[in-house]
Parts: sequence; structure tokens; C-alpha cells
Amino acid sequence: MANNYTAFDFVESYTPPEIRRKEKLQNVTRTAKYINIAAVCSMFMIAFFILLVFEHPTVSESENRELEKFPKFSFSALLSGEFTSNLSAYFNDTVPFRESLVPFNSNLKSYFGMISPDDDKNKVVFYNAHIISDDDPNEQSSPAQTNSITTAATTVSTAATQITDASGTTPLQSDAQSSALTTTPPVTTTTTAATTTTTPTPEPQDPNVGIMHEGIVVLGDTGIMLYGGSLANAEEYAGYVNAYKADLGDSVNVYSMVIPTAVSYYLPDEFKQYTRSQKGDIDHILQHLNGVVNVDAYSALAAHTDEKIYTRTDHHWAALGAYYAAQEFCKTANVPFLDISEYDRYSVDGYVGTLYTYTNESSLLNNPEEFVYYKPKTENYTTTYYSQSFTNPSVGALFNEGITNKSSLYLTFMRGDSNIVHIKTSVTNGRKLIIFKDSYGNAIPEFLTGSFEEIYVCDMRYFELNSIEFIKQQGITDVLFASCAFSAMSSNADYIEVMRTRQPNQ
Amino acid sequence: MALAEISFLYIFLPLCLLSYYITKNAKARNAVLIVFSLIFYAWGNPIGVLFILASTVINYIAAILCEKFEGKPVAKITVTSTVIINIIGLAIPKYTAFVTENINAVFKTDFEIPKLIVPIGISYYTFRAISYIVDAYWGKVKAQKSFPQFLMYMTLFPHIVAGPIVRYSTVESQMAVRKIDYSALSSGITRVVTGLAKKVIIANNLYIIVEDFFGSATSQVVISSRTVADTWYAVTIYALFMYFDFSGYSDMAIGIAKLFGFDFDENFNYPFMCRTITEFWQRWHISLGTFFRDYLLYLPIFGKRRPYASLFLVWFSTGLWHGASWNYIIWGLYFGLFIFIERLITKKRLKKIPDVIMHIYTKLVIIIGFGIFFFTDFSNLWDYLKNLVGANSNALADVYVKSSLTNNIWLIAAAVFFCFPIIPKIKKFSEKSDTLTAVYSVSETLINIILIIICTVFLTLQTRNPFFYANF
Repeated sequence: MANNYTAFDFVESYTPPEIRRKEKLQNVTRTAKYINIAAVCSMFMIAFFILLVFEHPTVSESENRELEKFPKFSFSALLSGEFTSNLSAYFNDTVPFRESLVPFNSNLKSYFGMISPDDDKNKVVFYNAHIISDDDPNEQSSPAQTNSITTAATTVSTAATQITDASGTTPLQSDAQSSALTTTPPVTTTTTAATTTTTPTPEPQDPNVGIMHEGIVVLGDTGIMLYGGSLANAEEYAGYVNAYKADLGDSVNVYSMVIPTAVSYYLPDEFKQYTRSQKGDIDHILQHLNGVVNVDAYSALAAHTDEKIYTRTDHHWAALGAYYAAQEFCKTANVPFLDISEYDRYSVDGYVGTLYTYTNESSLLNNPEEFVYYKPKTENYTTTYYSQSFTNPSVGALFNEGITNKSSLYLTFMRGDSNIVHIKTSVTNGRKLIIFKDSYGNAIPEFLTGSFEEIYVCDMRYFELNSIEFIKQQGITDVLFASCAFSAMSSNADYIEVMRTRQPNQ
Repeated sequence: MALAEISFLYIFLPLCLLSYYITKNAKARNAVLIVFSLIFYAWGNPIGVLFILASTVINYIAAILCEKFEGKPVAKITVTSTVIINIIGLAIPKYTAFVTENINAVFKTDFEIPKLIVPIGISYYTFRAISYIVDAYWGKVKAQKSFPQFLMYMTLFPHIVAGPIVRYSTVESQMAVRKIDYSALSSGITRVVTGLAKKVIIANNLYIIVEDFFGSATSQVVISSRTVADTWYAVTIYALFMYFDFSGYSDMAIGIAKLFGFDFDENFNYPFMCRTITEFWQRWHISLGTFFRDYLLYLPIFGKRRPYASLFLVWFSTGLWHGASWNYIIWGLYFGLFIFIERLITKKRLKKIPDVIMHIYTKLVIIIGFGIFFFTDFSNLWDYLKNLVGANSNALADVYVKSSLTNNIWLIAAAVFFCFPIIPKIKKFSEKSDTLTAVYSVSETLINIILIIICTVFLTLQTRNPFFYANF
């Protein structure tokens, strides 16, 4: 039986090249599947590891809000499902390193469109805007179609509080709380402000202290908030400020300065149908003022639209805009006014404001602007910060410099809205001014340090005292209402009446 | 907990998979699945667990009784009463408020609208239970003797919240022991990632557009100011959103089930490829359509003797099942009407109509239909319908729609592209040669990795967008 093989036996051990190739490819496919399993599973495990091991952020700087907190355990919270829902929300909201993903996220989304991020100057993006019909100029903005946001310098909160998305995110922190990040003194929360307004009439319709805007349009690197308002709101505002004049009599001058926003000057004609005319509403107020002196900020600003009087990425104005408005006010009030040459210009780079927060638009994020403020060359004034009920005085700087959170740079002006601010200057003309303002007003006082002996700055939304009594107690000679058109023509204006009709010493 | 969120994907799922695969014993593996499923279900609504447990116990016992008394009246009584209990269990929490509102409206009464807890996924698990008990009565499936196994079927977390309505008969053989090979595992993983991408990259971003034009589902804007083009554009985007949202979710459910060795039936089959509306419903939410076909039409009062009455009953029920609101019922009947008309025309004559016309007709009906689905408020719904035909004296088009289209063109193009069965075609083509198969497998992994990264970034920063799902 030896040597029983044939000459063809070698065939069995020989595999033709095509079969070998086939086997090899099958191996590749099998290996690819193993790699697929291994790769995806390890990505999930890495994510699992990151979520459990790395520190969770507590604050989002780019969004200017506090992130979800780890929920407190209790059996009742467990039984109601609250604990577990909040636990999910905590993990969903506080992914480690989330802030470093922000630019990536925005840029990724900008690839959905035809215009690449490099060419985003030509971009036009609308956010929740709609055509505002001309046929009914008295149309009241209905809450269903308007978007309410807070005008405080720390503004992000309402946008944030409205998020209750399908994945179970819970309402987020109030803006005043997030402003505590950058402001040193104790901060009154918006909740307090809201509760103080419960008794007097008329009650503000919106407990969130919001202004109504009609969406946002982003034109390249510039965001513009679209305006709603109505003639009825304008009349209401006029009535509120007229009542001050009636209460205070001839010894006190009352001024109304309704500040137009960027939409009045920078919205191209082709988009005009998405906004109401602020000029029209401001003129309507003027017709209804009775004894109150109008400060024509509209024309003052209109003369300087080629200068940087508004911010591109934030819904506020720029310091230069406030300068021209203050100039107009001083002219109207017949007081001296310090020229801009008496100020030093300071600036901070990398400012990306609230309009980015609302829209998440990469063309804003990728084109940060310069945040500018002007400090008097000679500081011959002292600034004292009080609580909203005029207690706890503490002397501090007028400018809150060194803010690290670049989206909150507007808080540089008098630390935002959380205090009653008193400025004592070296002027001796017997004029004492009180400003009732929204956050637009924060940028004004430094330009009045050479105009009035004393200046009180109060936020109409958070002020907790009776305004008439306060005006009399402080011996005020001039009262200025300074707010943007959005505030004047929305439920924010109701606070003017709330302050006046509030029980004294409450 | 939802499937497409960070805490599920990167905490719950890894923990569940780890626990499952370190356990070797089949019974222990089932126990792992039951425990995780109950935790999953209890996560947002612990009380809801009692509802699903009660339903599980009742149907478990009833099926055993049906089998024991097969052919006897007891079985018939048992199945009838169990089905009724199931329906009542669904109807009371889901429809009491709706019925009360309507009674108040019609009879000018002032009954208090009760606020009842609606257990998550109740519409789905009730239908699963009904399919099981009826199949057990018909002898199509054997009554499950093991309570844990039946509990696992009822509560299995991938399909507990939003389906598909997996029939017991589909998974009967997979209850006790399941085998998983690397190939199934790999395809399961790809399926999960595909579903996730459909939901997170496409659907979520399409919804931002819808909200921009129509407002969110609960605070719908007064759409009378939208132009004709706005309305058509937004409702088309909404139809695309619905497909990617729902089918993405189904993909994830099917894929996750695969990771544990289950094979679910498909729930979507490229619905926009349909030539007739009848066909659309054979491709859209398949598990719901087949449920009504197999169980509701069996009802003796209708059945085959009264085909048209039963047709409208099915479509009324389909509408009502989607939610306790009249617009859903109208939406269901609207589809019923077209299916009725198609039946009158007959299949034979429909075939003679050119494809182009059929496709235009079906897409129009489907897209307009989703608008009816969206607008729960009747005055908005009316404005929407008027807008479609330009009866609101608004402009035909404006810069708004142009801007939205410019800024989302690739997203929309991708959505439309993936409505066609491109990927199955590519896969089939790749199977022609081994080299292509290998290339396909390798690119599958690469694409999965890229998609996971993008989805994770989007999910991480999802809360950034103030308009997304607000008040939803």
C-alpha cells in the first residue's frame, strides 16, 4: 500500500488563486464585522466611562445658564418619578467637555445650508419670525405667536426655561441666578421681582418679566430682533408715565426716552414686513404724553447709524449709542454734558452676545465683536450699590470689569440689573436724577456723571419700593424713563404703574 | 427614558448589555432583561408599572385558560372578557378627558375634565396583549406557561414606549433561549446607529424648521400669516420629519432587540415609495396596520360582509389610536376615504394610470394629511387648509421660505434621498462581488463611527436650541 498516491493528489492541497482570494475577502468581511462591533461598543463604553468618571460641568458659559443639578434623593421623589427624570436630565445636560463641543456643533449645523461657514456673510436666517400684517395696526401681540424673553443684561433665561424637550429636560435656572456668576453682591432673583408685583394694579401679564419679540433674523454676522408692539401698548405706556407727572407736579421734570433698537436702523427694506415700525409707535407715544418731556433718542441715534451704536451679536445697544442718547437727554434737560473726549475707551475682544444664545447661529459665533465701554478720565464720583428695597449699601466701582464669561459682557455696566445704584458726582447744579430703566438704561449713567449732582438708577422690573415716595424722599428733581422700545411696548411697561401704585413702605 | 438620549445610550444601554453578556445562563439573561425593562419603564412614571403588571397578569392567566378550555364556551367567554378589559384599560386613561370634553360641548354640561395618568406606551402594550390573547384563543400561539417569559415579552424595553407592536407569534420561539452570532450583532449595531442618526441628525433638525413655521405642537402659531409656499414647504418638511422620527425610533428598537437576540418584524418599508394610499399603509407603521387588519376586521358585526363599514371603522380606530383629539380621527378617516375610493376604482384600473400621476397623487395626499395630523387646534387647521390653496389672501411666497430652504438645503436633500431605498440597493449591489462586500462592510464601520460622533455632539448640546421641542 505504499506510495499509493496519484499524480493528481497535489490538487487537494492546492487552492486556486480565485478561491484563496474569495476566502481572504470573506475574512475581511468577517473582520470588518468584528471591528464594527468592537468599534461601536468601545465608543459606547468610552462615553459611559466619561460620563461616570469625569467631572460634570455646572455652568454653560456659551448659553449663560446653570446646567441641571444632580437631583436630591427622597422616597417621595422616587415614587413620583421626579428623581429618575431629573437624574436623566442631569446626565443629558451635563456631559463633560460639553462647552468644547459648542463650535463644532454650530459649524456642523451650518453645513446643512448652501452657504458654507467661510462665506457666512451672505447668510439670512430667520428664527420664529412671521409677517406682521399692516391692516390692523392696533393688533395686540398674542402670547401664542410672540416669543418672550427677559431683557435683563443676563438674558438667556427665558429661552432656556422654555425648553422642556422630549428627552425630559427640566426648566432651567433664572437669569438673575446665572448673573451671580459674574456679579459679586448678592443678587435678587427674578422670582422675587415677580412676587413683588402681585398686589398692585395693573398686574404685569407675564410673570417671566418678558418682552415680546417677533423672532430674530440673522443677516451674516449680525443678529436683529424683530419688533412686535402695538399702538395700544404705546398709549398704555404714555398713560403710565403721564401719571408720574400728575403725581409729582411741576417741581419735578419727567422725561420719557424710548430707545429704538437695531431693527429700526439696520433691517434691510426687503425684511420690513417681519417687523412693526418702532418709529411709528414712539411717535404715537409722543402724541399721548401729557406734561412729560419726550427725549428724541430716535433722531439722535439715526444721525450716527454709520458708527458702532449697536452690538451685532447681542440684543442690547453699544456704549456709543448710549452716549448719543445721553447727549440728547442732557440737551433736553438743559444740563451740561461731558464730551466723549473726556472718556477713555476700553474694549474686550471675543464678545458673542445673547442673539447667538437664542439662535445658535454659527455666523455669529464665528464673528465675535469688540465689547466697548467708556470710562470718565477723572473719576470724581462715588458709586453705591443698594438692594432693590434700598438697603445694604456697599460702595463699589461703576464698571464691573474683568468679566470672564464673554457672553455676559453687558454686565460690565453697573453689574447688570440687580441693584439700585446711586452715583454721587462732583457736579453742583442742584439737579438730582432718577432713572427708571430696563437693561438698555444700564449703559447711560457714566455719560451723566458731569451733568447731575446725584443719579439713582432703578430697574423698573425689580424695584421693590413705591416709586413716588422714593422720588420725594430723595429729593429728586428729574425723573427719566429710559427703556428700549420692546420694553416700553410690552408688559414690562406695566411695572412703571406697579412701582407707582405699590403700597408705600411695603 | 427615551431611546435617543445621552442617559439611555451611554449609561442604561451599556449597563444592560454588560449585565446581559456577562451572564451565561439563558434564564438569568431573561431575568436581566426583565429587571432592566422594568427599571426603564418605571423611570419616568413608577406608578405606570402597576398598570403594565396588571395587564401582564390578566393576559397571562387568560391565555392559559383559553388553552385549557380550548373549543369550550369558557374559552370564548375568557377571550372576549379579556379583550374588553384590555380595551377598557386603554380607553379609560387615554380617552376619558376627550369624551368628557365632547359631552360638555354637545350637551352644554359642565362635567369636570378628569386628569388621569396615562401610562407610557399603553397603546402599544395593550395591542400586544390583545394580539397575544386572541392568537392564543385561535391556537396560533401556545399559551406561555412561564410568567417571567411572558413578562419579558410585555415589558421588553426596546419596544415598550413606541413600538413596534411586536406580535407574540413573531418572538415566540425566541423567548426561552436566543442565539446571537457576530453577524447579527454587527447588523444590530448598525441598525441602532442608523436609527439614531435618522432621529438625531435628520428628524430633530427638520423639526426645528417645522416649529419655525408652524410653532410647536402645543403652542401652534396662528399660521394665517404664512404664505402659500411657506405652508407647503413646512408641511412637506413635517411629513419628512414624521418618517425619520418614527422610523428612526423603530430602527433603534429593532436594532437594540437584535443585540439581545430578538428578531422583530419591520415596521416601515420606505413608505414614500408607495404608488397608492393603500400601499402607503402597507409600508408605514406596518405593525399597526396589520394589527387592525388581523384583529379588528375579525369583529363579527363587520367582518367581510360589510366591507365598507369595516373599512371606515378601521380608519376611525387608526385615527383615534393616535391620540384623543378630533384632528387625529379626521386624519384617519381622511386616509380611509382615499382607500375607499381606490377600492371603488379597483386595483386593475389603478394599475393602468401612469406612475407619475399615481406618485404625485399619493405624495400630495400624504403630505396634506400630515398637516391634519399636526394641527390639533381647529382654527389653525382651517387656516392651514386655506393657506394650501391660497385662500387667506397671503402672498404666494416670500423671503422667509427662501431663507429656510437655503439654510437647510443639504439636510432636506439628505432626508429626501434616504426616503428612497438606496442603502438596501447599495448593499444588494455590493453582494455581487466579494470585493464590494468587503468595501461595504468596512465603510459601514467608518460611517457608524462618524454618525455616533455627530449624534453625540447634537445630543450633548440639544438643550442649546431654545425653539426645539419647546413645550412639547
